[in-house]
Parts: sequence; C-alpha cells; structure tokens
Amino acid sequence: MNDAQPQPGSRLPAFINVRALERRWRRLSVTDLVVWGIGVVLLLFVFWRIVLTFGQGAYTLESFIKNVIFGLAQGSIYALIALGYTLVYGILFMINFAHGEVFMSGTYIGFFVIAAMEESGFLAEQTLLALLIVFAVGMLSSMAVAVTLERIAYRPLRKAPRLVPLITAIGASIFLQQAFRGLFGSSTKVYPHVHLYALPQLFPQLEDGKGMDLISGKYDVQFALLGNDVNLVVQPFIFVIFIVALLMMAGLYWYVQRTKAGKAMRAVAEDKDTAALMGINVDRVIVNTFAVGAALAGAAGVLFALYTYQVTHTMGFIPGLKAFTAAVLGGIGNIPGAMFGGFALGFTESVAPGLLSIPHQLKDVVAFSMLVLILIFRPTGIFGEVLSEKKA
Amino acid sequence: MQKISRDSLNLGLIFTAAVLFVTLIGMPAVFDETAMIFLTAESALTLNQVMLIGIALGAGYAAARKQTGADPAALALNGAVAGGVTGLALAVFTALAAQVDLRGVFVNVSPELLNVLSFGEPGVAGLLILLVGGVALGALGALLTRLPARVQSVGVVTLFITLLVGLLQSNINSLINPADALIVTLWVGAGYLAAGRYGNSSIGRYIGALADDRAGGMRAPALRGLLAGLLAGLIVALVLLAGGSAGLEASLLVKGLWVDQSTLAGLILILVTGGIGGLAGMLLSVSPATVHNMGLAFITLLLVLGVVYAERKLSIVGALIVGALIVALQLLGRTTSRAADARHAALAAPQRRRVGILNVIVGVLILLIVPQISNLYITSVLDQVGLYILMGLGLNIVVGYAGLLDLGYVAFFAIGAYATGVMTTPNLVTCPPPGDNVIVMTQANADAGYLEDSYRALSRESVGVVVDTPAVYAANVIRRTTIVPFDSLDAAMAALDAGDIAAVVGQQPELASYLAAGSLVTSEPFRPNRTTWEPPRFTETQRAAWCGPILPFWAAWPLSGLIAGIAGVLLGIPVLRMRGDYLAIVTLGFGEIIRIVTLSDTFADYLGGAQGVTEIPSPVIDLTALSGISDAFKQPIALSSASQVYYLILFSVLLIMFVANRLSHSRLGRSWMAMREDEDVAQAMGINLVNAKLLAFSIGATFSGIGGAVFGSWLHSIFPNSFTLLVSINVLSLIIIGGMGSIPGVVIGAFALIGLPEVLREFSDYRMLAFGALLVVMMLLRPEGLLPARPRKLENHQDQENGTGEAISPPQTVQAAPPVAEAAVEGGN
Repeated sequence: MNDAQPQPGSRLPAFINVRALERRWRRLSVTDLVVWGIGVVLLLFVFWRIVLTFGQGAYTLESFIKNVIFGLAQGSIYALIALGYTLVYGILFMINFAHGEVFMSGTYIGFFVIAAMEESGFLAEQTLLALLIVFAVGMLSSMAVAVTLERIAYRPLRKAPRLVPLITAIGASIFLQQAFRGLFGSSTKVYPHVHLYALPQLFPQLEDGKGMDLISGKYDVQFALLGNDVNLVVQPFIFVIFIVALLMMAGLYWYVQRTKAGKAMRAVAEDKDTAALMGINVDRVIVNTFAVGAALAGAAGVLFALYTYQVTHTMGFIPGLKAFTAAVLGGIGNIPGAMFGGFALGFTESVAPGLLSIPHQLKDVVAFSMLVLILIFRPTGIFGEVLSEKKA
Repeated sequence: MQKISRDSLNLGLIFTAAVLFVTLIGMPAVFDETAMIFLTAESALTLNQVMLIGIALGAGYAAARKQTGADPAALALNGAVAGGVTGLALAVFTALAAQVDLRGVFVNVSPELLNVLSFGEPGVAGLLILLVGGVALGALGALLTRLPARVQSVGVVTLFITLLVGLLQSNINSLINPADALIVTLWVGAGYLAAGRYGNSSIGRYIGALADDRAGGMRAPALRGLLAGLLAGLIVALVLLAGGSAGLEASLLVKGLWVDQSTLAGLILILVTGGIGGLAGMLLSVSPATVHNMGLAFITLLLVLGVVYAERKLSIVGALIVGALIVALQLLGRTTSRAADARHAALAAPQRRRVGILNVIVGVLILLIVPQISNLYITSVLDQVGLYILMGLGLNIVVGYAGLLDLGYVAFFAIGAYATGVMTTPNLVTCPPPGDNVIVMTQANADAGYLEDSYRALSRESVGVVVDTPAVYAANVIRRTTIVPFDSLDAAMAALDAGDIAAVVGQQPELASYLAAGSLVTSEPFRPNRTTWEPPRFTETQRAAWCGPILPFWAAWPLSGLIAGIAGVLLGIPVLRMRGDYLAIVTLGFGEIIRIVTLSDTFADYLGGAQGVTEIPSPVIDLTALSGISDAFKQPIALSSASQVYYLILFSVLLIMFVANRLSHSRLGRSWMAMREDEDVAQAMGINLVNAKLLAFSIGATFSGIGGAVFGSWLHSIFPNSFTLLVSINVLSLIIIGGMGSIPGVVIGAFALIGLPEVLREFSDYRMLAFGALLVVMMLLRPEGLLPARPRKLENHQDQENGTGEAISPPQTVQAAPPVAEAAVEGGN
C-alpha cells in the first residue's frame, strides 16, 4: 500500500522513480483506479471551471494580480505557522494541535505591550524600535507557552500511543484558548494602527513627504501589463510580511542545516535513541524545537495582527487549522514542504475561487479539496515525508 | 530535627500559580454564588469556599506525599509550608489588587472578587484568614496522608460525591421523595436478603423444597425473592393504608399505583410491583460484581435523592446523611459484591445467561421509567447524552475498532440531520425555487390555513400579496418575507398592470392550469377575471401534493442513516491509502467542507444557508391506518417533548449498542482490530483492507446519521454552526476518556464529558476551560480511559474456550482481571 513512498537513499524525486512506477503499474488494483478516477474527475472539474471562467470573460488580470498579492501575505503567515507543526511532527510524530494557540498567545501578549507603548507615545516616537520590541515579546511569549506546554503536557507522554498526545494537544488547545478568554476577556482587542514611514527620498510624493507607510499605507498603483490597464490598491505591508517571512525561513534553514543545535535536531528526528547514545540531550533538543516553532508562530502572529488589526482568543484556530493543512500538503515533517505548502495554500485560497467562479464563501472548501486532490496522487504530501525507514 | 523540604516550597509555588490563575479568571466571584451546603437557613458553604479549602488541603497533601519520612510533625510542617505559601500569595495578591487596578488587563479582577477572596472581611483580617487558613489546612492535608489508603480512597470518593450532590441540588431536589426511595429500597432489599443471605435458613429451605431446586438452580432463590418482595409490598400497602390519605400522599409511587382506592386492583398492583422489586433484588444477589455494584449504586442514588428531596436545601445534617450513605455503599459493595460474584460463578452456564438477560431487562425497565420521575431539564440533558452516545458508538467503530483517526466525524451527524430536515420539512426542496412569485389571497382563505401553504410555496425572497389582511401581513414580516398588501383585487391588478408585481393568483377556473402542474406558483403574469374573482379553494390532496414533505420521519430516518453511510463510503474511497495523520487532516477538512457547504449561500435554496432548516416537524406515531387495534391507540402522537424524544433516542441507543456489540465480536470486528494493530500484517492474513476500511467508515457514519436525524427532529431546527469541529472533538474525547473500543466506555465518557458539564450550567463560562484541562489531566493520569476495553488477548481466549453465545455475561476469568494489568496492556500498545 505504501508504494508511493520515495525510495530511501534515492537521489531522484519519487515521481520519476521508474522502478516505483513500474511496480505500481504491475500492482494496480481496482481501488487505485477508483481513487485515481476521482482525482482525474476533480482535475477535469477544475479545468472545466477555469475554461468556463475565461469563456465568460469575467476574469481580469487585475483581479488575478490582486489575488496573487493577497495570497502572498496569507501564504507567508500560513508557512510560518506550518513550520511549527512540521518541526514538532518531524521529531515527535505528534500533531501539536495547540500550535494555533501558541500563535495566538504571542500575539495577545504582544498586544498589551504595543497598547502600552501607544499610550505612552513611544510607538509614535520610536516606531521601529517599538515594533522590534513587540516582535521580541510576541516571540518570547509564544516560546514560553510552547515550552511550558511541552514540559507539562507532552513530555510525560512521549512513549504513549499516538492518539494520547493528540488528545492532550486538543485539550491544551481548548484550555489555552479559554484561559486567555478568562484572563483577558472575550471582547476583541483592537491592535493599534502603526505608521512606519520609510524611504522619503524614493517616494517624496507620499504622506506629505514622510515617505511610504510600510505598515498601514495603501497606495493606488496603475500600470499597463499585456495590453491591460491595471489599477490596484497596494499595501506595502504585504511585501513586508513576505520579506520578513522569507528572512525567518532562511534563518530557520540556516539554523537547522548549519548550526550544531540544528544538526542535533536532525539527528533526533532521525533516531532518538541513537542520538541519545551519541551524547545528544534529546529533551533539550525537543524543547529547542518547540521554542523555534513557537518563535516563528509568534512572529507570524504579530504580523497577522498588524495586518488585520484585531486580537481575540479564538484567532489562532482558523490560521492554525490552515497551517496544519499546509504542513500536510507539503509533506508533514518536511521543512521546505511546509514553506511550500503554506504559500501554495495561501495562493490557492485567494486565487482559486475567482478562477473557478466559485463563491468566495467556499474558499475553504477549495483549499481542503485541493488537499484531498494532492493527497490522492501523493499520499504523503507534495514533497513527501522525511522519515527514516523505521518510522515510515 | 524537623526540616522544610524544598519540594514543599516548590509545590507551594505550583499551587500558588494554580490559585492565582483561577482567581485571575474570576472563578471565586462566580463560584461564590453557588451554595453547596446550607449551614443555616441563610448562610451556606459556597463552591468558592470549597475550592479554596480544597486547594490548601491539596497543597498540604501533595507536599506530604513528597516526604519520605512518616513523622507526623515533619509532615504537618511541610504541609503547612506548602499551604501557607499558597495562602500568603493569595493574601498578597488581594492586598496588591486592592491598591492597583488590574482591570485594564485582567478583566475579571473586580472589587467583588477581592471581597469574596477575603471572605468578606475588610482589611488585615481577611488577609490573616487566608494566611492562617492556608497554614492550618495545609497541615491538615499533610496529616491526611497518614490515614490508611483504604480510608483515604473511601473518604475522597465520599467527599467528591457529596459535594457533587450539593452542587446539583437545585436540579435534583424534586425527583424522588423519601418515602418512595425507602419503599423501593425495602422491596429490593427484601428480595435481595431473602434470596441471598438467608437462602439456607429453615424458611428458605422450606420454600426451596417447594421449588424444583436442581444443581445451581435459580428457581428457589427467585421464588424466595418474589415472596419476600410480595411480603414487603403487602407491608408497605398495609402501613400506608393504615395511614389513610396522609399515608398515600407521602408516597407518590404508591399513590400512583393505587389506581382506584375502592377496589382491590390498587392493592394487587402494589403487591405485583413489590414482587418485581423483590425479583430485582434476588437478581442482584446472583449478578456479577459490576452489575451488583451498579444496582447498589442505583439504590443509594434513590436514597440520596430522597434525602435531597426532603431537605430541599441541603443542610449540614443532610450532607452528613448523604456522606454516610455513600460510605455505606462503598463498604457494603466491597464485601457483598464478592459474595454475589461467587454465587454468580456457581450458576450453571444457561442460568448465567438468563441472569444476564434479566439484568438487561431490569436495566431497560429502569431506563424506561427515568423520564417519568425526572424533570424536563434532566431529561433533555439525558437526550443530549444519548445523541452523543450514538455518535460515540459510531466513532468508536472507526477509531476504536478500526484505528482510523477521524477528526471530521460531525459531518455525518450533520448529513443525517440535514437529510431528515430536508426530507421531512415541507418548505425546502419540495417547493419551487425562488422567483418573483406572488400569491393573492383573501382573509377568509388565509384563515382557512391556505396562507401557510402559500408561504411554504413561496421562498423567503418572494413577494406575497394578501388582500385585506393586516394581521397576516404582520405575521409575514416576521417570516422575513417582503410583502405588499392590497385592499382589493382591483388594487392588486392595477399593480400588476403597472408591473410592480409579477403575478396574481386567484380564482378557481384560472388556477386550474397551475394546479394541474402541481404548483400554485408562477412567475408569469396571471390575470383572473375581475368580476368573477373568487378566493381559491384547495382540496386536501392538492395541498399535500403541492408542498408537503417528501417523506414522513419514519421513512426519512433510516434513509438518513443510509445517506450518511454512503457519504462515509464517499469519504472513505479517497482516503483509503492515507496513513494516520493525513487521514486526520483530510477527515477534518471533510467536516469543515460539509459545514461550509451547508452555510454557503450557493446551496441555501436546498439547505437553508445560515438560517438553517427550520420548522422540522416532530416524528408522529400515527396508527390510524392500521386495522385491528383499539381506537384508543389511533390518536396520532407527536414525539415533541424531551421525554418523548427520550424514548426515541433510548431505542436508537439500545439498538445501535446491540449492533455495535455484535459487530465487535464478528468476523468483521476482528478484522478491524487486526487492521488497527498492523495493516500490513492484517493484509497478509487475508483481510481485505479496502472492504474493512470502507465498512468501518460507512457503519460509523450510519450510526452518526441516525443520531443526526433524531437531533434535527428533536430541536425542530438545525443550523450549520451546530456542527462545528468542536463536536467532532467532543465525540473523539468522549470515546478516549471512556476507553477506546469499549462500549460501556462510550456511555461513561458521554455522561462524564457531555452530561456533567451540561448539568453544571451555572459555570458555563468555565465549561470549556475545565473540558480542556480534563482532557490533558486525563491523558496524563489515565490514558487508557475510565472503562478500557478488555485486552484483546483475553477476549480471543474467551472465544476459543466458550464458543459463541457468551456475549451478554462475560465469564469470570475476564471479569476478574485486575485493572492494573489491563491498564498495563492497554497503555503498552
């Protein structure tokens, strides 16, 4: 049944693994045919809708670009959160269901700091410094929550059957959500509108010569592309989110691939017992993993709140779910997979409904259907799981 | 040398964190409004006080448990430190919060909270109470560790249940009056004692000789139990009759049985009921330990309810009596259950089987009586628990037996509910899609009930025109329908000419063409002859054909299960090749897809969109078509109240429990379990994984769909947001808390996770919080669940040894397996 798994040690990606294809062909069963049939029908449906949409001529390049830009922001946030799921899964083989709440808690505590700084006027005076402080607080509080969670709820269950930590994580998720509601009330908190002006030399015409407002600014952009006049309202912050996310992912990649701690992390993911024999402190590596994932989530949370301007105790749920989907999409446990999955999901969600002429209300249906479609053809995600032979 | 351990300080800090957390979320202020035990008529021990005392005691107890030595003084010292630290922290917090306003961040830190925390004493006195109380209770808690383990466990259980009774008193203080409780106890007790303990007395031997008492026979004890019950029934009847009307008033049960006070029928009925009680008592005395203890617990529950009924507000005396009853239950249960167990083991196999069947019958009888004696609130909670049991049984097949993790299980419940809703409600699919349709009708016709039909025919967006009917106009505004009333036909026709409305429907001859098409609704202009215009009159058949439900509930119900089952297969096919966690996310996505689809405007014409499906009719039992039964049964009965729906749910639960039980012992059930343990090995053993997986999905989905159908017709309306991920999580949690793969576990889990929070409505704010915490704590302390399934190894052994037909009363080897061993096996896999 698992013949779709990439061959360990193979240098080639699985989809051009001739031997695997050949073997699959020989063992083709009715089930496979039916499953593939469903996939093909879904693909044809997508194709038909796209043709239909273009046939109607209702779809403009303008809305496509708008959706792509929006998808960029959404994808960045999803990817950052998805990394937390994937890191933990890669090491512990558990779905940290409470990761959405880790994301929420950093944002929430960051809110109190930024609100206090706004009150004191510090935010207006030293905007960049204030933002850095908020990011630091958000990341640190997310890390604190995640590490506490690991210590209290997950560590004692490391040897338990797989369902047990999952239920614990679900319980922790509900508990955290409700604890924040109990502590800070159920009303929506409004994040301050931050104005960070930059590059007055390049954009002298904007904001009375103060430069571009990188965070709350919205600017009309007009240009011609492929013979179409495109009129867009562009928010520079979307690109800021994208760049920050890319920087953080690059940092993570460097951390995992180039540092000693990252090497230990990879070793533990490969084989905990052997890693322990090699003198690696497995507990500490796991705590590190949770902390790194939480830091990314905390940063994503602050970005998210600066973009949406609101914080509630339930804000972690939907992004958490989507990010989890993204992680699975890319192949859970696989770091590049999570990044890719996040962007893929973000783009699909914002571009597909318009492209397929499906009401925007149903964008989650589109997202989940894409997940099913991809898992039909690649049962372990686009990039496949990075698992050692023993665990696969 | 007495030494303060570092552990004690640490524990003090942990408890401090806990107490500060509950304080910051405002628990004490809310809990202070719940009285548990009334010390005097006015003042009461509140839940808040119980909680604070509990925390201090717990701190001391935990600190003492960390100590290795057994010196009471050292234990007390360490306990006092832990409790003292907690008390001190709370005192410091109270003092600080009184000075600095924390409400900007912590919204719940109100002056009332601080007042409650210091027990109403202002200033230093309140702080001293906290500190001294912490020290004293901590020391006390520490000393409790010196009690024997048995005493400790009995004490904890007693305290817990007594406090629970105190907590629930306002809901349970009108269920059973003390006389009834005593009478039932007397009947059952008489039967129990006669059949069990005094079976070898001379009277017992004499009666035994009357019956044919072959080896291991049951007839003699049964006869003894029956006679004892009859005797007890007679005594009760005589005593109460001697008391006259006052005696009858005291016991509602006897009053109810005493049909007609002038005849013997009442007396006979009382005697018969007494006899049944005696037989039940006899049955208990030869039942396996679990059943025996359940019976004892039931009797104790009756007595406790009687005490609460008598007290109305539980006083300290009442609480002590309740506590004493629970202690008695535990002490008695331990010794007598062994004897009963031994007697049960001594029975011959056919008789054991009979005892099992009889026990099931008695259990079902009790379940049937429950809604009659309990109030509406408890019954509706039971209904809800029943629905969750249905879902739990279904998910138990998918997750517990087949090991397929499904996080979107609510989807099937929703599909069942929507299927029934759409099929039985006369306003959605059967009626035409929306358009600019208009119906004109006179007041007379509207009064005759045709307006209802018109509006079912019209969609919500339509414009209805009603001539001269201001009252109906108002009613329709409520229905969110845009409506243009006209005083006369002339006015309506003028509007039609002007193009303001699309059509007018009226007089009979002109209507004929539309009626023939089966619809009254048209988007084409319709012009009746103004001079001969008459209001339309429809026959009953026309009305029914026009816009009735597709199916009655009884046909839609199984069909809903079937539709959910098909949906289960449809979900199952694409996920056939996915492993655990991928399966989890895809099923989760499926659950969300179903919810979003029902919520979306795209399908709103069929599924109602965000407004959901409303006005789902109650199931109606209509036997008028049947011949050969008395007219008394021919009255149609609508199952609308909670207690009527209870029977519907009870029936489904029992049926599905039976099916699930048989399935788990079937070939299919065994292949599921093999698949759960190891898919590859199972396949190698010749199990068709595709069939097994699809069957697991579809059977699980069917059970849920059946529950969903009842849910929809019970609540009369279903909304997409009743089917959130949280429901799936609830169901998954309840089967895991109850014990995976165990049917009694599902029941216990549903009561613990759904019933208990539902009853504790007062703290609805903290329900979810406690739920989350419970899940975590449960998984940390008892991951195998409350009633784990018996280890499969033993079960297989049982199958080989006894062959088939032993499902109802499991043999002793399995029953006697100590829980520790089970836990080890379950936890290890």
